[in-house]
Amino acid sequence: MTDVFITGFGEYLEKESNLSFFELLTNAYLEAIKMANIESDEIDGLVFATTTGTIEDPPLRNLLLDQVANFLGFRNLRYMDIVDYGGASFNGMIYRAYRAIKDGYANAILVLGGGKGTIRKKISKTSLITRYHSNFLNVKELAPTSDYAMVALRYSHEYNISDESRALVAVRERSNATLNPNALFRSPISVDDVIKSPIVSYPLRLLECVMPIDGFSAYILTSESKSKKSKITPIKILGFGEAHDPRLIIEKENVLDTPVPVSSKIALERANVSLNDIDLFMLYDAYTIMVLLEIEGIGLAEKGKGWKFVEENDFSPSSKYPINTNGGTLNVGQPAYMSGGVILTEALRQLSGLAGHRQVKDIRYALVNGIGGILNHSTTLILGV
Amino acid sequence: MEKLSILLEKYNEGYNEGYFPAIRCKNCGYTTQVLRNRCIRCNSDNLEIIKISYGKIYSYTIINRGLDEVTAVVIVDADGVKVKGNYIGDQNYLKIGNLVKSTKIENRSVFIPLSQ
Repeated sequence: MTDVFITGFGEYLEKESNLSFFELLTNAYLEAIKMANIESDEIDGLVFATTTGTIEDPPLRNLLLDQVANFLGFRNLRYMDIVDYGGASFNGMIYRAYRAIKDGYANAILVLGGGKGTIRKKISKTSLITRYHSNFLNVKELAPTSDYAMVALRYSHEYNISDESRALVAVRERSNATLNPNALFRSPISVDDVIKSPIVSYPLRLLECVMPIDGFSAYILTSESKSKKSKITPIKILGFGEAHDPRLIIEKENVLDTPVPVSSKIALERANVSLNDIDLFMLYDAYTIMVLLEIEGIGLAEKGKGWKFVEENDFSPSSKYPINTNGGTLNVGQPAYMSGGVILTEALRQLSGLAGHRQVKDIRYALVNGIGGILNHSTTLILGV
Repeated sequence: MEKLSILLEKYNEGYNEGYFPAIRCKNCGYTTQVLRNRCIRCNSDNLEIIKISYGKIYSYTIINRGLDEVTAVVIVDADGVKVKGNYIGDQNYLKIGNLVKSTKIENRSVFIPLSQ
């Protein structure tokens, strides 16, 4: 069986783009194949993720994968797939593409995800996550934000921590963003700035929540033979784990339980590396509370002590535990309500030595953790060079 | 197995009366606010609808941005069953552990402070 590598990646993000859904995805794709240094007609697989409501209407969402493949001009695909569990989808897509190449179904797969978050933001005054039961849950809310706010409040209650402790996550990430010329928000902030920013959904403040933006992330995975053409050192997929618990928070015994411990344990075991081997942690950060729960879920801190870890570690590229070195999506923005692409791309940029002033020195291993829904889905990817 | 649409009608009667309905499995006792026409724990379709009228605040939030008006949401723990609803009343009363009851305001079920 062939080895499989990530040989190219591209990211096209705009705060609010006047380009269409299809133009945006094309821009990310072109950047990725340029880096992978392969021709369009070598692509024989496509894996895709988007979010309902982040595409102009029309087109309708039916046969969307077909429409994307058609717009990009593919005609010899041997593998097509859609992954649909929110922000955790990106790691999941990489693994499905990896498996398809490993099993011989394809040789060069494009993984693509994103959409236009600003479309949805304009048209919707309702929750982003509405499910089959939205007709019976008799509540005005703004999920996922309002649900994550209730998770954050419960966390503070159970572990007796202040809003300031959680706010420090935003401060750490912003500090990293000052080194990222492409971040939307780059001015340093203090805990006080976070606490004084407007409350979106108590206790979460504006500076603790991502901003929806427009754009796509694209990745090229190839078999070993095609990987040699790449302009970067091909990146290995060393381990992957996924865990899903699609229950609503009202059906969980404890709303602070997440699938992160399961997905991360599987990924680390498969990669045969320990947490101490990891040089970079890219953790899903749509809201500050998620980062605390991931720090604990992955095992960097005991349950209930994630905030303490954040006090003792500054997340910076030169620190012992670099976290979200691009400033995370809190500062880069969240395309199509999914942070998974932005954090994955930063891991690949770091592993390729392309991170400029924020480069993690001598990096060998990166861990990327994606979360989808209201702590419903967790995917962990271990990458290496 | 009862049709979901028929079960929904019965379920909504709870809301019409100012309660928060939940589905209880007569076979194993699993109770949830989430409407399904079978029990997810034991797969029984021997279900009943119960009406939850009070409980303790498990968590809450006050949404200040993104909706047309400031809106409070609570997750209420009613003897181990969590239900979600809107809260109307004194915002200072919103504290984890405080008791709330259901009532009907502007034609829908909401939670208010127990003593109100």
